[in-house]
Amino acid sequence: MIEVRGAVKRFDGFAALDGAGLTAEAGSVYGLVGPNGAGKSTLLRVLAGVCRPDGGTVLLDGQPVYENPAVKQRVAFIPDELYFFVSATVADMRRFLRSVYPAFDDARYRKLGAAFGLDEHKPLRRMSKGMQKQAAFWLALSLRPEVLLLDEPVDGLDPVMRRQMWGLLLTDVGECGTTVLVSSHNLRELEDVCDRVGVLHRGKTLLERDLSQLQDDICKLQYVGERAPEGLEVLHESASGRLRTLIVRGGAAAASAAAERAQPLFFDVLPLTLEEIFIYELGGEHYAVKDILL
Amino acid sequence: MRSKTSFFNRGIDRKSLTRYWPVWAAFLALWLLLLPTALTARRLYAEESGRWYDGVVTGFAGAPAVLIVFFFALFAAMAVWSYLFSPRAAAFYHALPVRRRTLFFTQYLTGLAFLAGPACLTALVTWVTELAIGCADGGRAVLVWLGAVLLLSLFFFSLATLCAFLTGHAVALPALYLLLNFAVVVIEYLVRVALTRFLPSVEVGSLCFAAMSPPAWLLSNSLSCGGTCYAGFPYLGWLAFAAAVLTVCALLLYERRHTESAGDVIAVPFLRPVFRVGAALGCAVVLGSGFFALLGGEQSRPLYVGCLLCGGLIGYLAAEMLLCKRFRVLRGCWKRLLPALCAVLALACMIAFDLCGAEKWTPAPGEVRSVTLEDSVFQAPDDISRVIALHHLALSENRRGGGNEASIEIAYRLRDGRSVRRWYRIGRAAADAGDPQTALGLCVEILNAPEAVLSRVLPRQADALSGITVCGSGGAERVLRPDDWDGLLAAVRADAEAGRLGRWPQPETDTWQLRTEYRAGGRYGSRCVCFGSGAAQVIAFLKNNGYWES
Repeated sequence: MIEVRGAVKRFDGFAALDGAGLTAEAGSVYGLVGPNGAGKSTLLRVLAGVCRPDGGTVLLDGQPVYENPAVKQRVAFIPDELYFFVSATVADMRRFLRSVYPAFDDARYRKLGAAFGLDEHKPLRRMSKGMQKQAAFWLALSLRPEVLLLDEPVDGLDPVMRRQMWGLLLTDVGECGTTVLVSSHNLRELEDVCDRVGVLHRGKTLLERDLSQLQDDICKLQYVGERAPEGLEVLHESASGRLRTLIVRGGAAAASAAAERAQPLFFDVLPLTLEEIFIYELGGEHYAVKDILL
Repeated sequence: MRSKTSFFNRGIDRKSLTRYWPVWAAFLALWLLLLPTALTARRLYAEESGRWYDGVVTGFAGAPAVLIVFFFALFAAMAVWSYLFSPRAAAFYHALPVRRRTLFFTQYLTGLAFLAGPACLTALVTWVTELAIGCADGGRAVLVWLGAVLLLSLFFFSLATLCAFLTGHAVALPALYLLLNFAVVVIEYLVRVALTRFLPSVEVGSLCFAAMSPPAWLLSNSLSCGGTCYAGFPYLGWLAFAAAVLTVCALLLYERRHTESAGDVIAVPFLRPVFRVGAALGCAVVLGSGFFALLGGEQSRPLYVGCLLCGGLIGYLAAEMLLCKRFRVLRGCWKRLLPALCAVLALACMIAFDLCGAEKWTPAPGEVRSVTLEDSVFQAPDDISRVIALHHLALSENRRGGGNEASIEIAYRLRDGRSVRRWYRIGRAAADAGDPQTALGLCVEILNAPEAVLSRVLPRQADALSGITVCGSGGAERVLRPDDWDGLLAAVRADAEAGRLGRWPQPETDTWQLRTEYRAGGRYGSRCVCFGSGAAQVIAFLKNNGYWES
């Protein structure tokens, strides 16, 4: 289990993490979302043991990650900006990683090699960004990690490869109980794979819930009528002709009941996509996209 | 569960060795070319003794070793610590399941192996070569060379390692390395040059802090002294101790280093103000002296202060630009700039206006072990007090140009081990010569005393006389036989006591010279006094013994 409580990380006085926290159960996929500069990459780097947190606790199965090789052996980290040795091939990287990670699985490496179809003897710098990303996945999954930290993992991958990548990850989660912590701007994609979502903003965790719970807690109410439904916490309101749309906090049942009491000509309660939830939750935090959608 | 503590990771070590092979391969190739190959080539053309070949090998432990190791230690450090300078590489290495301490020792030992491995291999090949070509003399010279190269490698690599942890940029590392190696002597030299410009009595002399610049010290001192003799080991021992301290400092910095400092010019936050002020002061002296020389300011103190302020301003802004990585920095830094410029102003005034009182300084008689005035050495307390009194008079006359002056040099050896040397110009009016209340009069009285004259012929500290030569006004020289030395010295004493020889200031009629050569404390020295036709005893002795023709 990954547990982060009150993590603080400052860069020259600027707090990239300012009390962030998250809890990810073993064998789950955790989506980390937030606007640019929210601290997602920093949190992942802290979790990977790259940076030392200035405050708070960062634990993996109850053990601190920073300067703890026994814990770090169980973690694979694919950053947004990949690093390979100059002129190295996948085979070179494999040799190096095998000498550092005791759990490196050669059989899995060979099996994944067939799936990815990359030439392991081709210099990585001659590969496209997408192919380099595939190589990074190939090597990371060969480490047989218990925790996989992914920062914008499918950027640069074509749709077929994205699907294949998620398939491989979810297979690992299902078969090996791998915990995946993924940060991404592609919320539609996270929506399909995440069990739990955390929203970061300005270094703080705004909310953290199971995806299903999150979707149950906010809904979109559309109606045509003279009276506005009462007793609802409205996060956003807009109109298009006679059709009015409200984004309200609370479950679909409560929104339906309130709408019925207002006796509109027509009403409908719709679930929000993760992207819409992200925008409206952050709207309350003065996020500038408040009025973009709908 | 924490893993067992390990201080070395073979996987990372192997990767660094294979990845940066050009560094150690070039180091090896260079030494193989210089030592075994050079020995073989010399053997082909010369039939010399084994000791001669030992001298050749030990010679390579001097300047060649210093220069080669100086640069290759930097290259090795730039290679093994290169991951610190790229954010991606830093993230990759620090995500590996190794502690920073393990990473540090692995990379440190690997970098050291880049230098030590080829050095050991070269030593082995050289020794085998010596055996093969028949010029081996026990292999001692090879061991001396190896010891020197290993100690030099240890120091220079440790220094470069510390530089790597102070900086976060691949270009900043060599810049800081060069700066730390040479800044002290360059700045001290420039300050001394400026001091002599404004304070003529103060000498440039030998640099006090030369030992703070190891390459400059090692290159300026002759370390190889023939055969297997190598004089540099005591200093190299100190450097090895310094290397251990530098390594500990580097490790402590690494354990606190922020990964995100990759790309910063100065990676340690608390050193950034030091860097700014250091750049301001350093550039003030270096650039300011350059501006002053370009403007031909001679002895204009305000101009010098202005030049130093300009240099300091440029240095501070350049440092700020490097730290902020942008050119427009003035608006954000002017508040911090003012104290730095005040420091530069204080430094400039200290140099130009002698705020430390270097020129006006005189010692208390009790502080002085001995004093030398114009080649005459005085150790008696009374004599020392009289020279100090002369020093006071010279200061009060404070002559600078204007003609009819005599120049005197006073050099003190103090009881705390320091040496202080001063030059002064004093009035040379004939009327003053007999008045001991004037600097000239007192100087004449001190220097023309018989013991003072005799000490100019043969210093008291001389262990043995090794030669006496008499030079005529036409350039003819007569070298005296050792049998005649005592007789001549007796004649010299008689003339000195009568005030007929070695008088100061030198009369125009004293056109002949008596030059003595002596040995003192293992070193050779020489002295020269002048005499004229009035030195009756000396001339008579020379005539009687066939050294004087007309």
